Amino acid sequence: MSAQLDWERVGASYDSFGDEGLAVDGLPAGLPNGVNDKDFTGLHRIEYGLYHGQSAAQLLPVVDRLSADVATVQKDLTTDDEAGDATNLPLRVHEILEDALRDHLSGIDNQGAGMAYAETYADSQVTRVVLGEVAPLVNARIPTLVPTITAQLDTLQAALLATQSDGHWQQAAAVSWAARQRVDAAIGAVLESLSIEPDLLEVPPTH
Amino acid sequence: MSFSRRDFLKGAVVGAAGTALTGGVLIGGAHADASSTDTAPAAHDAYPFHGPYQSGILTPGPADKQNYSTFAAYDIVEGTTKNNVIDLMKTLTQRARFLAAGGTPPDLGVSQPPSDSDILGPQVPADGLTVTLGIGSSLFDDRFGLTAQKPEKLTLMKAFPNDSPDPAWLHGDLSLQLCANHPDTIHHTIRDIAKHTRGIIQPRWKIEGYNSPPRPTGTSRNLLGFKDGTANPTGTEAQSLVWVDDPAEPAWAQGGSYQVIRIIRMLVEFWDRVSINEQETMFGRRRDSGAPLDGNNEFDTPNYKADPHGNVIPLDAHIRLANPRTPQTENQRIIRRSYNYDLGVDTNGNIQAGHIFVAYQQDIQRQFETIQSRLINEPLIDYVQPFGGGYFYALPGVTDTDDWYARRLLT
Repeated sequence: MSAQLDWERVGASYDSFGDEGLAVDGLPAGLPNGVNDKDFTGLHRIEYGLYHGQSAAQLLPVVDRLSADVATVQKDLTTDDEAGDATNLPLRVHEILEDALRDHLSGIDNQGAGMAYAETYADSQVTRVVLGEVAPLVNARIPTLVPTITAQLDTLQAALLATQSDGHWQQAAAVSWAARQRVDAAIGAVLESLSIEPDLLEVPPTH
Repeated sequence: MSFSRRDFLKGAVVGAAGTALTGGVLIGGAHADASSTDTAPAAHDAYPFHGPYQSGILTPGPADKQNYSTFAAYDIVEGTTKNNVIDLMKTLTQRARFLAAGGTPPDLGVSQPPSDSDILGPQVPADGLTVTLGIGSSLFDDRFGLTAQKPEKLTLMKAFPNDSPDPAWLHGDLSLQLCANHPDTIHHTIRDIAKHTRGIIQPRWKIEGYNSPPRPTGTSRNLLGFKDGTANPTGTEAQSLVWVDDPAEPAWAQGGSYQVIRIIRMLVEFWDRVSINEQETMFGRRRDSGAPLDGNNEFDTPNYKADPHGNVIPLDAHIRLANPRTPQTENQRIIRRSYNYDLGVDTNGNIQAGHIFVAYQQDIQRQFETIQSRLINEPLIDYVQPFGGGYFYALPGVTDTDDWYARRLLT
């Protein structure tokens, strides 16, 4: 899981690393043979294998392939294919948590580990980083927005940590209804605030 | 064309109307009742938001209720303070006030996502929307310091012996009843309310309901094929049964009403394999016309005194148990404002559909619970499964633009 969380913190969202990113983090849905498809590789393929009783012999080639694919991403990180257009950075701020809500909290990308809350926590950390990068631009337009978002990220992180048991992340299915609602409320509130940011940065401060 | 049995008996109805009526025969025991109307429910473009009472209960009343609805329950999330709840109530009031009147959503400019979803077009029509907000007994726990203000008769809905309770479909801190003339208005409204309240309340359950047109006349039918709501009290009688006015209830609660929501699955495949005679005996009414079994027209009043052993309308018939029509049971009557629902299919390929039973009254225990207790083990229970809903307190009305939902409770 720590590999998955590191990947989250790299801020790969909205297919930002293209096909090379998919090799690392792709899901079986959409592949002709689903979980048995030869193109289902990477972190989620390993997760699936671990939670469905597959042997080390079966999974070691997957791990080797993953190492190679991560190295590819690293090598190509500064190319336009991967780093993308710098003007996409404002979009990235809200997309990371929108993806968390859509893919992690919904359970749709769970291949057995059920670590939606841990992954979303990692996504909230990287959101803070990206928010910091665009903060000067936002402050020049709406001075109260960054403080509001920051406070709402605090609320979200507190709500996510409240899903833990004895300081350990739990499977999403084990979390109480009230704790789940608290996370849903917190991520909903911060996303409403974050949604202002992309359009805001399209216009100059004196609009 | 609208005429009453009384007019017919006085010989006032002639021509085609008279010809139609001469085919009917008065069965001994039934009494002529107030005029039955053949007209469809009147749809209005808008209902008032402000007033001493919330709309959506008697405005419009059950006979004219809007054709589409949703019933949703919400929980107030952990960490919410009483001041947050006050903000929530003010926000809900602002949204409901705007949407119930219709109007132009504000243009927030290019620097933000739009304020409205455009589901109803750029000018939001009221489209007959009523918003009715209720609060559950859980709101009066130790979270907000409101325990001493709880309405006297408000509890969690109890499980009756024939219920199949599903925790995912039960209870909630708040209930929201939305009714409107079209289903897209319902969707637009609940989506708007969610957008403004996400951080404080989260949905617990939600179900859409629809009202059928008169088929062919009279009260609309439920999904067992029977006209549903025929005997609803109306006019001042309804008001005297619905609005809370007991001085023993808290001052803030005066003008509210106890709301019972019961989501009841109907086993329609099983039902369609039952003989018409058996169905009518279980209800106590004719299925085609809605007439009581001792009568001829839907709005005839059953005469139980003339049938003490239940030879015509059985003693365990649904309508007889629900309303025995004695002086003692008069103040036990409720106002039903129910809807049909359709969900998908169950794991056996059977349709998941049924009844959103909605009742309003001034005293849940004297009224709804007394009736429902009489209905325990009635023959109908084989074909229905109550699994969801809850007891809520429908708030008093928002009186004017300075007022907001539950202001007198929270300040």
